Amino acid sequence: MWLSVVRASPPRADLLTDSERDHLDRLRHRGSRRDEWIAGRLAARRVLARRLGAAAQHLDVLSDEDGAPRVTGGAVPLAISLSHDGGRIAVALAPGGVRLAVDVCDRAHAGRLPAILRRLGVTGAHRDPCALWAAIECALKLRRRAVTALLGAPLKIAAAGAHQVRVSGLGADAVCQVVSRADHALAWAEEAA
Amino acid sequence: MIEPVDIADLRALIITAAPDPALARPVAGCGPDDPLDSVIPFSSVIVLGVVVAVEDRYRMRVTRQMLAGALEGGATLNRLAAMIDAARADTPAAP
Repeated sequence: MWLSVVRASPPRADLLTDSERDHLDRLRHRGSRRDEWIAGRLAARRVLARRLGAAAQHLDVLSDEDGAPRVTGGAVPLAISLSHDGGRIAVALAPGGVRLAVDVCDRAHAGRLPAILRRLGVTGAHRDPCALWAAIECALKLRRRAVTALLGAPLKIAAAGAHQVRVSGLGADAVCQVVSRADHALAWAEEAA
Repeated sequence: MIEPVDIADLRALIITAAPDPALARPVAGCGPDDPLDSVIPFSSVIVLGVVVAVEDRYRMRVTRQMLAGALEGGATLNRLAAMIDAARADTPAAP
């Protein structure tokens, strides 16, 4: 898996592909949500270009009905996951046949996360609430569940290694890698599809 | 008699639940039926922040079904207000 965390670039829709622009028009996002969508595609394109060179020019990064990104147009299937927060974008890419998830959580959320985690009944496993939240979001993406799945879920998070946590209660257990940085936390996971 | 939820209160609550109030400011002026996800990045952490704030403010419990009903087709201020009103009246939330 290729994992990058990049700064969001200015949301220039003119740098999207034709298919991406059409897709964006259909989504009818406005304001910062629209900017975020564009910035995510541009970040994905930068990472794709770094990994695939000129072949990346022919790829589009669209989104499924649930908002999950997907790469189209290439000869070889690619799995992708994107996460935006605090002006940074995490991009996870891998050759197809895998499920990928990545989540970045900005420290700006640190103040309100303890109350949210308490509400969800999550305790322990990691001292860093941003890392816990990133792992939960990562598990949601991996299982393609909506945020509503968290309410009433028998959510449990247990340490599974030095930088790993196991998230239970959202379908099959998800094992996520987690790292805590000064300004954000990052969680990611990859498993066979 | 329970007063209906004040949409202005709800706007303030959502802006407060966002990590960056400047990014969430469009909620202050959006239409009550505008999908919030098209106006601001209505991310999971903001959704859950709003749930916690709603539960504190209105002394109620938001269930998965209630939240799913409010988010179906895109959460709007009116849908969230209807969810809260329905819960406070102890009737199922209308979609």
